[in-house]
Amino acid sequence: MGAFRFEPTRLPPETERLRGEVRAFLAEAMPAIPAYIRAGTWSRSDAEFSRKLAARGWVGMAWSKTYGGHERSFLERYVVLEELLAAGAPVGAHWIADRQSAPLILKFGTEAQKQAIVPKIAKGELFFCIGMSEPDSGSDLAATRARAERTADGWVLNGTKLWTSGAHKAHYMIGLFRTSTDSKHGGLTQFLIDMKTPGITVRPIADLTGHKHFNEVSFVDVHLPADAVIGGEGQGWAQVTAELAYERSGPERFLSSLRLVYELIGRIGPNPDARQAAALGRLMAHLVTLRRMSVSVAGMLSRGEDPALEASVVKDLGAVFEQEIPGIAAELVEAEPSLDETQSFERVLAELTMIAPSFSLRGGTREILRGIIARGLGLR
Amino acid sequence: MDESRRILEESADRSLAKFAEPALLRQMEAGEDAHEVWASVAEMGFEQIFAGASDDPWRDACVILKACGRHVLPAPLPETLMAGALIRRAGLEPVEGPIALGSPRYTELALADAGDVTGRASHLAWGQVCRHAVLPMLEQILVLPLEGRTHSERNIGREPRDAHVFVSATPRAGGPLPGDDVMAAGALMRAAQMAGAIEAVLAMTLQYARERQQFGKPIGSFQAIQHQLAILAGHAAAATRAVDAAFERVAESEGDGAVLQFEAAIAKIRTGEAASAAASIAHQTHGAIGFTDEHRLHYFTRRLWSWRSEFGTAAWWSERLGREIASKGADAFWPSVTAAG
Repeated sequence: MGAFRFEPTRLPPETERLRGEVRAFLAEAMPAIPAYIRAGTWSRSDAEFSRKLAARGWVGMAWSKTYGGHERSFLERYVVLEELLAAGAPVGAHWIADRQSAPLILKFGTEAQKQAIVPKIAKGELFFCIGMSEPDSGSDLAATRARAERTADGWVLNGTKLWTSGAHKAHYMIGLFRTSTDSKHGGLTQFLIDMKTPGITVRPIADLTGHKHFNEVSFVDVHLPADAVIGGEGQGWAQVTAELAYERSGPERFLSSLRLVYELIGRIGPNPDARQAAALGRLMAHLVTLRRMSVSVAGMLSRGEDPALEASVVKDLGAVFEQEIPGIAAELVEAEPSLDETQSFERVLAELTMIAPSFSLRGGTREILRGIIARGLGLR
Repeated sequence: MDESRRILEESADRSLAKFAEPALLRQMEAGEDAHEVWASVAEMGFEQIFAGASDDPWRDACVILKACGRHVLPAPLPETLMAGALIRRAGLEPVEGPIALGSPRYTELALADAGDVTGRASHLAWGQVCRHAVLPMLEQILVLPLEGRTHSERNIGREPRDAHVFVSATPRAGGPLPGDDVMAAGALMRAAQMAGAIEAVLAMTLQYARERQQFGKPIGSFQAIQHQLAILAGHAAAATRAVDAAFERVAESEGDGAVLQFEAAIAKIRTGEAASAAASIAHQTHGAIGFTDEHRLHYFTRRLWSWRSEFGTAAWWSERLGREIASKGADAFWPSVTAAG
């Protein structure tokens, strides 16, 4: 018996019509941007594009209509997401809010929070970032030190969050703060934080490509109202664990290098040599299988099951896959990665070669995921 | 998996588990006649899946083939099943008894007089037990009786891979079917067996890692071992998913040769890679004891090393698939992925 169950979930035939609609929309609405920029897909923000998508009903697809959602299935949502990613659409602005912030609020938030926030996310008007990592707390998330202390009428936050993607463009953060030092895992609480609150400073950090998409966010005596708590005080760890299952389950965890595969096929041309052909066939076999596993995870989500383990398996395999593609492409074609924007293959190769190390860091490092899988295997 | 298939899987595991015993496997590998094992397998009725015994033969066959791999069954049930699939695909009458399945790569037949054929086929699994062989010749398959002397060879799993010479042999039946279909059916068969054997290897390795103590604790409590087993489990999950999906797609599109080729390629490539990783990690985790003749691990790993090569290596299937991808061009790549479902 397999240790994990990936049920043979299929995308229902009617989703093919939806796929056609998304492809037609993208052919028209997608800004004319070069391939190396498309390669960034969900790490690139375009607020106007996000609002256009929302207008089509493709943000908040699976949420209740009560909160501005569209009550579509998880599998329909899956089709939209993968088409956006495959096209390299600039979906970064709303991606986190759609993927995990709104689902978290819908699951654990108060009625007032749901009504105030979720409909605006569904309209593509509110963007979110996630305050989890800190300077001294990365993979060891429960070592969170940024603290929230009670005041007469609410909370005051102090501390620093790090590697916060999109904090410079987000309207809100859902941040994990320590509200008690009595217990490592039990003393954490999640807060809904308006990024305009005085005392918050966002300092962009350039990554090795020179892009600035993640940040250091410092909190100095940041006052929040009492109703800024999401879920229960001290429930932060359990809630974050649930949130991470959303964060780890999607097709963005194995499609990151797809643009380079397109460029590679184009550069190789219709008559590959044996080595090139074998590499392309192998990539297809991995991709088709990963996608089928990922659809199984989406099926678990749609049935209300907890896919945390299976999502970790897909993310781990997916990261290995998308991370090895730049190295494979570099060996198959006599070309050098280049920042010259007129050379499409060389430029995309350069971009993905440089950002690939992040694939097995973001959203949970390879080591953390393998630890989770080992626990699922009964070894921890 | 639906309920009826779960029941079939449990039934197959119950029936086949007794064959995965080192004592029996050792005898079979030493050359003991397989007729007795086949007689016992035949009583289970699984070999008739493509001969009218199942309403959903491809999906049921997938369950049985994985179980054959999980219990490294020393009998030609997988070959009989897939030969049955090809017989059905070519529109021929079902054939009873164990059937060998010839690879196009190792079959050379030519027409002799009056519809008879002459030539040679090798790498026939359990050829000495089988009463018939399904063999490709040009753009058709033939059902030939395996009469007369069969020369015995073995793969590194020491499973019989026999050679047979045909001299003016009269086919029992024949029908049009491309040799590629035979190759694909064989690849799906070995892929499913590999997925099953990888599941068994994972279970064995997990058990060993929990029980074996070093430095005062189970070796499975060391992070270095845990991460290797996580990798193994990932390959096992991918192999099983690839195989389940392949048989399902083929079931849905019976008759579509392109789907058969594509799915066989995906399954053989992915399980072949998983087999290599699984065998390597399993042996490393088991240490020296797993390298002994006494331990049962090698009955699985030696077969994985053979099966990954039989009916086309991962590289062979990758190259074919890759040529198709390149010829269709970059714009067709993503649509091909989504069309595969």
